[in-house]
Amino acid sequence: MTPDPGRREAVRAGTLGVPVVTLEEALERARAGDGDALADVYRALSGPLLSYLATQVRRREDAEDLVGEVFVAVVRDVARFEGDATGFRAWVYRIATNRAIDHARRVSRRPEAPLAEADERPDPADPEEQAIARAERERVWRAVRGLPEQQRRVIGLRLAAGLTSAEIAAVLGKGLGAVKAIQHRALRNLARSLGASSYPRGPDPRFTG
Amino acid sequence: MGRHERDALDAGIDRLVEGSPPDAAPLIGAARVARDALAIEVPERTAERHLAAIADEARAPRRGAGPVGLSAMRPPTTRRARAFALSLAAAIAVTLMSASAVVASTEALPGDLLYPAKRAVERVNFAFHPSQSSRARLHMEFAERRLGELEELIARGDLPGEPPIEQALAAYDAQLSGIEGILRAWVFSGNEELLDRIEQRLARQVEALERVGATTRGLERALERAVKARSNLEEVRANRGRGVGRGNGGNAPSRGP
Repeated sequence: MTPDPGRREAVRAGTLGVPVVTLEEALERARAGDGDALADVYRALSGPLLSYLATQVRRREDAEDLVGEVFVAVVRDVARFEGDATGFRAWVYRIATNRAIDHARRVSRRPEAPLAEADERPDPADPEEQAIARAERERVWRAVRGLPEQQRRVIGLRLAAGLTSAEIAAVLGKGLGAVKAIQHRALRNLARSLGASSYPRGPDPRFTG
Repeated sequence: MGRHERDALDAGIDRLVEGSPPDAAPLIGAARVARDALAIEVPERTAERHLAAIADEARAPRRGAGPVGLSAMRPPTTRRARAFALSLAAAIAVTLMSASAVVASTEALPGDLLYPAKRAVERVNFAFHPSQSSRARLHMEFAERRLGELEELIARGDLPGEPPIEQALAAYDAQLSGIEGILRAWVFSGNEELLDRIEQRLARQVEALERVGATTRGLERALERAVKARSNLEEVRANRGRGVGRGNGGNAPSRGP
C-alpha cells in the first residue's frame, strides 16, 4: 500500500483515527524514561526521517541504517534534551543531517539501488499501472538526488520530512531568508528536471549551487 | 496529520496556486509531485530491529552532563567549511604550545606537570579525524597508551588508590567508553573489518592484563574493564547478526527481559 503522502508525524491513533498520543506527550514521557513512549516517538518520526535520509544518501539500506543510528543517539540524550516538540524535531533532524554527512564521507562509491523495489509487492490486478507509477517515482527520486547538496538538503527537509521553512532554518543553522532562497532554486531545478511545461529543457546556470 | 488536516492543506495549496504569480504554479506542482513520491515507510522488520536497539540503549547506564539540543550542537556544514574549521582549530592548539613542551609531554605520566599537555596533544588528533572509524582507532591507540602508563606507574612504585594510578585507570576507562559509544551507534552499519581489528586489540589487551595483572596489584580493574569492553563488542556483533537483515529473512531480535 502506498503510504499516505499527506502524513507528517502519525502519532498513535485511536479507533476513529484521532490521535490519542501527541508527540509532545510522548516526548515528555520519553524524557522521564518511559520505554513505551520512546517507541511512540520512533513511530511518529521514523517514516518522515527515513524519507529525508533516503534523499541524502545513495542507497535505501543505508538510509534505514541511519534511521536506527539517529534514534539510538536520540535515546542516549533524550533525558537531557531541553525544549518543546518543535525543538525536539529540529534536534532530531540536525542529528540526522550530521549523520548523513558523516556517512557520505566514509562510504565508497557504490551503485545506487532503485528505491521503490524495497517497498513494493507486485499488484496482480494492474501490474502495468504499478510499473508506470514506480518508474515515475524513481524519476522523481533521481531528480531530487541530482540536486546540489544544499538544495537537496532543504528539499528533503521540506518535502520528505515535512518541516516548515522556519524549522529547516533552525536545523541547518541558517537564516529564514536563506532557506527560502535555496528552496526557490531547488524547486526551479526540480521543476525543470521533471519537465514542467513552463520551462525550457536543459539546465539553467542561474539555479545551480 | 489527520485526513481533515490534509484536505485543508491541499485546499490551501490550491488557493495558493490560484493566487500566486504565474511562475510559481509549476514550482508548487513540482513540490506536490515530489512530496507524494518521497513518502516512504520503514519496513516492519527493520522497525522491530530499531525498536530493539532503542530498548537496549534506554537500558544502558547514562553518561554525560549538561543539556542537549540545537544550541549545544554545531550546525551542519559543507565539507570544505568543516575541513577548514578543523585545520584552524588544530593549528591554534599547536601554536599555543611551544615545540619543546610538545616533545617533552610525550613521556609524561599521570600526575606529572606536563601530563595535561600530553593529553591536549592527543585531543587535537581527534580534530583531524572526523570519521567515526578513525576516532575508534584513535580511542584504541590511546587506551593502549593508558595501559602503558599504568605499567610504568606500577613499575616506579605507585600504589592503587593513589591519584596517578586512579587517574590512569579513569583515563583508560574513558577511552574504552569512547569506543563503546561509537560501536553502539554502529550496530546497524559500520566497518566489519574495523570491528575485527578492535576486537583483536581488545583481546591482546585482555591477554596482556591477565598475564601481568595476576601478580600485580592495580591492574585488576583495568582487566575487568577490558573484559567488559570485549563483551560489549561481542554484543554489538550479535545484534548486527540477529538483525535482520535487509530483506534476507531472519528472526526479530530479542527485546530482552
